[in-house]
Amino acid sequence: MKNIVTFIAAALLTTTVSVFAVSPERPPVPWLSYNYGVWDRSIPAQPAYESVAAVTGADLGVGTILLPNDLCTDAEGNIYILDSGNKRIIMMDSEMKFVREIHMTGAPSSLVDPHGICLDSRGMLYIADRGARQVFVCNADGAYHHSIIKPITDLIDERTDFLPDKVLVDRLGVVYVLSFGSYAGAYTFDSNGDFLGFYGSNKVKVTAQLKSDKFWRMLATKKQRERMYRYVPVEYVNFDIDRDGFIYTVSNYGDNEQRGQVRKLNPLSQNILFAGQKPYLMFFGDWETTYTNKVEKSSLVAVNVDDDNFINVLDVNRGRIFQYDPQCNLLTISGGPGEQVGTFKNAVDIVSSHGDMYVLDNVKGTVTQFKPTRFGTAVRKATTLYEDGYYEQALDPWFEALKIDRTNYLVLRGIGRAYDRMKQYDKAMDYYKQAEYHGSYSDAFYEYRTAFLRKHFCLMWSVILFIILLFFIVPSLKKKYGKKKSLQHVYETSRKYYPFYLMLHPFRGWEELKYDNRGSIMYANSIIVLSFILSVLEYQYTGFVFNVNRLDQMNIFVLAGSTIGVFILWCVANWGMSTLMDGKGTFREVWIYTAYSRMTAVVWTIPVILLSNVLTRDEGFFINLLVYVVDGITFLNLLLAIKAVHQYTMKKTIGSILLTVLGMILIVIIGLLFVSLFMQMWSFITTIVREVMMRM
Amino acid sequence: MVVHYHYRARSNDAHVVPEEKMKNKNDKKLIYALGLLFLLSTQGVCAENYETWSKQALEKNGFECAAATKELELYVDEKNGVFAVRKLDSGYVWYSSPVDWEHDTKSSGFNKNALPSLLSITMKDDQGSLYPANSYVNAVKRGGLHVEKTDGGIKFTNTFKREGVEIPLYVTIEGDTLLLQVNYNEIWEDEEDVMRILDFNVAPYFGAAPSGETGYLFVPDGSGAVINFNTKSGTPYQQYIYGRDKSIIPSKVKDVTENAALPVFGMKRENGGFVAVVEHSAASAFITAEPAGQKTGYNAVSSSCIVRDFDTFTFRERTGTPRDIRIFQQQNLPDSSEYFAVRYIFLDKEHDSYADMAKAYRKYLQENDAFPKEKTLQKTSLLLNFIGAGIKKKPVAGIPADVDYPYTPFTDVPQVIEKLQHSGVGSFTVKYDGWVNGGIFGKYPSIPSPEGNLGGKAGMKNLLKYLNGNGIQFYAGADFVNLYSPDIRHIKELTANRAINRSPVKIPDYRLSTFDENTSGDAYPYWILRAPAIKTWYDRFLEKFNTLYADTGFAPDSLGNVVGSDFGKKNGLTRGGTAELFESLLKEARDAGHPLMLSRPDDYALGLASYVSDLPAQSSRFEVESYSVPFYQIVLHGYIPFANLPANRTPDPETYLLGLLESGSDPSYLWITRHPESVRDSKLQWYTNVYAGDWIDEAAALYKKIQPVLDSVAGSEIVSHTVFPSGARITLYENGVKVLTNYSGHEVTAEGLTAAPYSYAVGR
Repeated sequence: MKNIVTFIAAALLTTTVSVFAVSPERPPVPWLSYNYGVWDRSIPAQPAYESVAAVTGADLGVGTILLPNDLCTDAEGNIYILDSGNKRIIMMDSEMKFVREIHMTGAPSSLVDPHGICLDSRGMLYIADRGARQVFVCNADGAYHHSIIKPITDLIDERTDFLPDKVLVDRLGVVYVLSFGSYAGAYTFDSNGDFLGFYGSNKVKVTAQLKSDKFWRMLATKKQRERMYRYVPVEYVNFDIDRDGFIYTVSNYGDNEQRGQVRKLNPLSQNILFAGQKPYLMFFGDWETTYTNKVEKSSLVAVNVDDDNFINVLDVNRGRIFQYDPQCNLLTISGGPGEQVGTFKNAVDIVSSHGDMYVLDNVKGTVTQFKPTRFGTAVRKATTLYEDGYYEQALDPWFEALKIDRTNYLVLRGIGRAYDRMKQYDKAMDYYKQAEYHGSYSDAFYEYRTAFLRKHFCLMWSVILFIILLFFIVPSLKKKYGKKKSLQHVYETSRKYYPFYLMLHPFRGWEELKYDNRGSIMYANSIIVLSFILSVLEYQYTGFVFNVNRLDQMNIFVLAGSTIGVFILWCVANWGMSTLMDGKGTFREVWIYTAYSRMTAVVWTIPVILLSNVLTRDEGFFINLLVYVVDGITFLNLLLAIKAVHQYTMKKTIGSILLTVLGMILIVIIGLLFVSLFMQMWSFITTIVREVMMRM
Repeated sequence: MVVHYHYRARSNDAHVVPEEKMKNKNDKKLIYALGLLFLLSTQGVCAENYETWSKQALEKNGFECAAATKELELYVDEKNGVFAVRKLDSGYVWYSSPVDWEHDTKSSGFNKNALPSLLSITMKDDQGSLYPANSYVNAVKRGGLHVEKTDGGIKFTNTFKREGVEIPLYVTIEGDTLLLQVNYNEIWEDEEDVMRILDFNVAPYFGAAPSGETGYLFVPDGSGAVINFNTKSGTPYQQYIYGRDKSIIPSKVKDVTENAALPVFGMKRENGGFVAVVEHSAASAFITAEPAGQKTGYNAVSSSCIVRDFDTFTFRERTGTPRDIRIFQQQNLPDSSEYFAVRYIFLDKEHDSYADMAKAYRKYLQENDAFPKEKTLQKTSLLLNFIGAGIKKKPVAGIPADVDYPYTPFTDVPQVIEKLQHSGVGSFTVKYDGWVNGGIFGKYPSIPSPEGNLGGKAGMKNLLKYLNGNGIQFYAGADFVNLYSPDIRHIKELTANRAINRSPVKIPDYRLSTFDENTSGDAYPYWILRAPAIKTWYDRFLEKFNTLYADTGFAPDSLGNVVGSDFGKKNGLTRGGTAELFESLLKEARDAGHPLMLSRPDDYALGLASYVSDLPAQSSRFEVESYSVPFYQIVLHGYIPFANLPANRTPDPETYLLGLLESGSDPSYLWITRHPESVRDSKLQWYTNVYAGDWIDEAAALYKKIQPVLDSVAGSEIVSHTVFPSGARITLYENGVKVLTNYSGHEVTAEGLTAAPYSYAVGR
């Protein structure tokens, strides 16, 4: 009965991904092939690995592999499967053909619940057995040699259990043993079996919860303190060692997901794996999460470093392999959940051998082999050259990869960098733009601009000279030909030019505006509308060096709200406040005055936009400075405007501005309350409608 | 099964003297012992032989002959509700359930009782809980089986007394085939009972093979797949025919699988095999297959029919926890004219491989006028599939707006073709999608007016003139089933299919990382239109298309395979009905003089196509499947020219080439000629590797390499196809050409041919 129900339920969930009818664009692998794009969302991507085959125990001729827990490889690339359920080790070659079966012989006790195996450089086999509480050391045929048991030392509490879970041996023969539940790091033993100490414990992450607990702990009694939570570091769940002898650990932070789940430790147990510059840590696993009854996110259980120092991380929740280059750039995501070759039910370990990846599924009892596709090979070759600094030689493999995935930003960046080195700055800028790499674009732009200016040196200087001359000629021309009095008079008194006059004569202009009533609603509105239009232009046309907006997803309502909406809100709040504080301005006047005070900002937006297109990132502070100055002037104007319109003293003006801001916040809060109420009512109505429709 | 052990009556020798009595006693013991031995041995002998029982043996064992044709005899065991079909030429007997099922050690309880059942059903009660039932326990054993003879066969009426359901199953033999049929309007459900039937599995263990046998099951997954008997990997196979009903929208999509486009399945045993076709109501059917050891000790494959489908609906309670409720399709069985029919075609011992199954299936389609009877004369051609225009959000004067990007202007096509011709490509077929105003995945194609950005009417005319002048067959693609951009003339609430919960069927955009629905601003959902609405608009389009572009090839792909039900109360339409309507629409276009190209069409549209594109080169690669086979391609080869999925959609060029040679497929590419970087953040974001400039050289080289081989087998059937454990495959054509393709990393030799790693060899 259960079978059929699960059948139907499973069948309901199984459907194809192809959504469009034309030439199905399903990825050519039996899992959803994606990566994270420039906007940090998941987008379709070409697979860098394809699943070749999944072998079961029956395929190898050894009977079912029962609950296997670990894999390891030897120097030749053979793969060893720890068949925990059958208490044996199965050895196969890198083409997944059976070689031999190893049983442990001659040991004082037998295997109980082995969870980890590894081989050292001499070919000795180490089996970490949680149930037997020891690490068995045998030779390659399974003949028992000695055991590593819990060390007796002052460093370890007597009551702590020694439950060896995973084991690793480095080139010098130092044995690292991860004990289940131990947060102090790995137990290290030398080749004689003597205890050396602990290695590589995580640090306790400082969170708000921790800080608040720390505070309460200070006030608590001793008895209360004993019953409070102790903050201990999260244990790490698995580790691997690279060619150079560095140990990589992977930790599972549970619900407190943080960056740096994978660490590369130096001999002092310090993490040296950074994404780009220190101290920036990479977030490993899926960035996107979803909620059903709880948060569903990646749960990392294994890490593997291959011969090129690429890092493979295994997520057991969705059966995925995330591959990162040595700089922590996410290169590719393979695998998924399911019943097909290349998908998993419970993937527990991963190893690599000769460029291929092998993943162990504990429930299915299979090992699945992944081979790089043409795309994967090209990306790997290019990345290795790129990381070693051979940017131009990487160009060919980058183009090979580009052929297959024209939107992969790592590929585009690589090509951009190559052109950058080859001094073809315009091409470099083009590719950097596609890859949304603002920093590198800025550097390339700098070079490009320098070259451009050099080329047009004469033209540039003639233009500058001309502008300087204008500054001297125009006033003298005015003196000669201008009808001084009337022009000045027109300028000072006309409504059309009043906003400009205000800009240049703030202290006088506002008071005059009040007495002469030279404000005009029409001009006020046009200033505000202009500010909105310019904010749109700023969003779109700010130079790429500074523009981090998504141009195809501009939300016009947000922009309208932040210009026109805020303006109206301010006017309403200010007028409302003024009635309470004996302000003498009418609503119309408040409207006009506020609009006029925006004039400076509006006028200066255009030069800011123009400047942003010709400056590099390092020169960005000019723009910032300009913007600060303009903001300062705008605030000054606003201050003077409020003082003038309501006829306050300076102290009262400042107070009224504060009150206005408070008023705005109040209005927004009440507005949100209404909106929320309305939404609840709306969802209530839609639910009823849906239910009625279904019963009809 | 009872072995009737005959023993002669004992003669009267009761008056024997005591001493002789003693001797007789010992003798008797000996006789009894020998008799026991004989009994035990005959048990074994009889059990093994039941597959070759003669008419007499069958009758001796409780079977009665109910019907006969020139090729087959039909027997029925009325007491147990079992039937058997005996092939007269080989004497091999196929049973509806394994004869010694009672001795099966691998199963117990419900699974075991499915073995002797003719029907395995799922019922639901008024709370929406599901209950399975087997006809053997719930009908036969409770006295609910009624057997009567019909013309040419038997009618089994199974009354599930406790569930209040009665299902009559017709078993008929016609010529050399066996037909199983259930008529919807004969299914009786007790009005007073709350139980309703959801689906039924017909003859779940027909011809099931015990675990000692070697052979395989064939399932129509993707290109086709083989499940070796007794395989230990994976879980039982189940797949819906034509893919899952699109009107049942899952909340999460995790899998990437191929579809079953052809409703066929088969079995190859040691003494013969069969291929079965779901003849009617295939759109409501699904196929299940299990190797021995997963549920029972038998290898079996069978089909099931969904009578009432259901969807899961999520309500959020006040506390915020989601609650799933099942809502079921309304189905008024007595008024329905639907019926479920599956036909089994029996194959001889030497001719029961999947290649033979393909041939038998093709013959079946030809006999039913659903497949061309003449061989094709077309030689190998390079299929170029161009995408014309597509929408992308671009800031226009600062405001983002949908802009039609011309990815392949009409004038670019001749340039590409000329470049390829210079490099040695001789023969082409061109398909062009997204030529209609609005582009691909854009506005609904109401009238056949070419997109202005691509060159407009004049550009299209010039392109057609160029192609006609060079003898290149052209197909114009359009999508009539899916509504991507609703507008004032195409209102989704009025014209889309209805789901079971009455809302318009919207296919959501699923997030690739977390599998759930993407509700953000850059999601691209679309709607499926009702068949009658599609007909109206399609007819309007076709009328103009006939005048403007008479005799031009036409490729309305989605009419060949996207099939979803309309569960609307008024004017609803089943998937089967939709398929019939689509078939008639395709016929309209073909009869108007347009050759049709279809993308991996389902069986109902197969016979109408002049060219078939985008065939899957493999199956979904479920772990239970042992290997993929190009069944679909074997059915087509020689009769309808076809191409596998485009080269730039496979991860390896070498595997692609081998796939073409193995299945006899034309090479194909999917291309755009401009703006390859603009596909990002648009509906075309999947097409990241389709820039023509990157692929022209490779395409020419590929074509030149395989064209001689493929031309030598054009118009020839594939008569056999073998997969070797070493990774090599041999395809044998009717005219004697043999192609060895080597997918492994080692050199292989087979049947006199040797191939280098990832390479091939051709011979005779």
